[in-house]
Amino acid sequence: MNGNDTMIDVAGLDVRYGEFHAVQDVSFRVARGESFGLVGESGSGKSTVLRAIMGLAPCQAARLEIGGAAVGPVRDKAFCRRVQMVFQDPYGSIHPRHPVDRVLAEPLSIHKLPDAESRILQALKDVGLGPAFRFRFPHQLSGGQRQRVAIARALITEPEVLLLDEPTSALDVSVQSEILNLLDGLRKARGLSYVMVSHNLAVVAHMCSRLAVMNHGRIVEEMTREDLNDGKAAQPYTRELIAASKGYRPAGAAACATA
Amino acid sequence: MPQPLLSVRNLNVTFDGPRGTVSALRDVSWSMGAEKIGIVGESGSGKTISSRAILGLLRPPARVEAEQMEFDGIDLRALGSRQWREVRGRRISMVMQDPRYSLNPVMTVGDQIMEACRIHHRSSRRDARARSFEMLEAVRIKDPDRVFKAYPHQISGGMGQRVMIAMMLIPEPRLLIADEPTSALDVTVQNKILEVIDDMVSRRHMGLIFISHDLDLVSTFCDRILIMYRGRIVEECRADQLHAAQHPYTRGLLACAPRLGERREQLAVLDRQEAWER
Repeated sequence: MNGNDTMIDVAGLDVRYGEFHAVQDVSFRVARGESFGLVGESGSGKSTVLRAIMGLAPCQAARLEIGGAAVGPVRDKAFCRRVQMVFQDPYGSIHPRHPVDRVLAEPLSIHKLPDAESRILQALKDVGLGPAFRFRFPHQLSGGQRQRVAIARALITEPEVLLLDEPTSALDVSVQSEILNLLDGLRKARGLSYVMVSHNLAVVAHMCSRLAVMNHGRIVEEMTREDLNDGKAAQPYTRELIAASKGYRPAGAAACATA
Repeated sequence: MPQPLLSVRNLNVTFDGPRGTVSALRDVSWSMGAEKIGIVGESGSGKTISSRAILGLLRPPARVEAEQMEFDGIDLRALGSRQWREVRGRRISMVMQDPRYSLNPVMTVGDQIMEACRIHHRSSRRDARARSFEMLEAVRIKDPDRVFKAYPHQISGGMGQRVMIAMMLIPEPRLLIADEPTSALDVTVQNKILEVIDDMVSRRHMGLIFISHDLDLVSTFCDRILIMYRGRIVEECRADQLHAAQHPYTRGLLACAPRLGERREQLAVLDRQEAWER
């Protein structure tokens, strides 16, 4: 991969909170239009990587570039327009006292984008919500509908990169499949680049062509979707994660499986 | 067939609200012996309400009605609050979802387990202490001395869940209800907790009601599965036969979850039908 088709280029990313080294020397590249997964358990630093890119966590990096342009210490407006984030909990990430219309209008006024009316209607349509949802409050929406609103809010600035932090882990599987199909369709239609954080290997294998496995703040292994689907992991930690995601194994059987 | 441990027939739970009556459970029936029953369904399907009804934890405005609700020869419908205290915790106990919220944050782990022991066994402090240590070892806590003296915030989530299991099992109940016991935990810890539950339940010949939204997990862990949709049991099957489930809702749920090793362009989407509610 070189120059033009690299969308996200992170090298030597470090995040420290006082003594605690949350992310250590993390490097990865994501091509334009590609979907890249970060998997790991809680505390592995996967969400912190996304927050560091957004400027929500104190970070140092040898290189942090979006679309070939270095990202400054303070994220400017142009950056925020190009890179948007969707958070895990649709119940907590939308202002409870703002109707959907205001949620979607705010990024438009910040970035001084014209034609707010038509953009809002289009954004709602893009995420599969009709115009009827425009004046509802978050408490009048289901979890899946709220996550659609959060995706619409991210898309309304016409970003090139979406950072997805466990976008479906608060949802039922039946709703998860709808949201994943929506995200996949949007990526293909608009050539978006995704970095998707998840603890669910099957979700990442479905959504991402490449992924990195994180443990204790470091990337332990980078692999392709095909390797993951075939269970071809080089690291014992990754093999453990793959085995654990296939349901319950009684103690005896687990020993046989790893032997 | 021997007398079942628990038998429930036509259990109905309704809530009277300002906008009329909402029906949370409709004609739910099952009976079980010393086996592992999995209850699966989406949020709002009535999994948790079912277990709360069995434990007598529903208060008005909830209304609980059943033709039969019998546990180990006791008619659960007729119990007064004093009698409930003999059953709840003692003979039927429950492991909650998240140890961070269900353990007492200002009491040490040891004191909490000893409290459970002393309330139900009226044993001496020394005896309760010895039993609590035994129990911590039984749930495979490696350094029971440290954990015994620790407060809940000083131990990890997996450790907290082991503590809760220890606390729930120390009165030696006949039936354990586990409501999403591993969904707040990491996958690599999940299996270890399930091993502990599996081991304890089979060794003590107990019944287990395992509530979960994870079909793959339930089908590998339990003996039998009840699938709930909007307050009804729509299907009952043997766990190892889940893949051959007949009901369109169950099939739909199975189809929408992505699985490792299967490459699909698009995930199936559940097409809900009104007929499923009847």
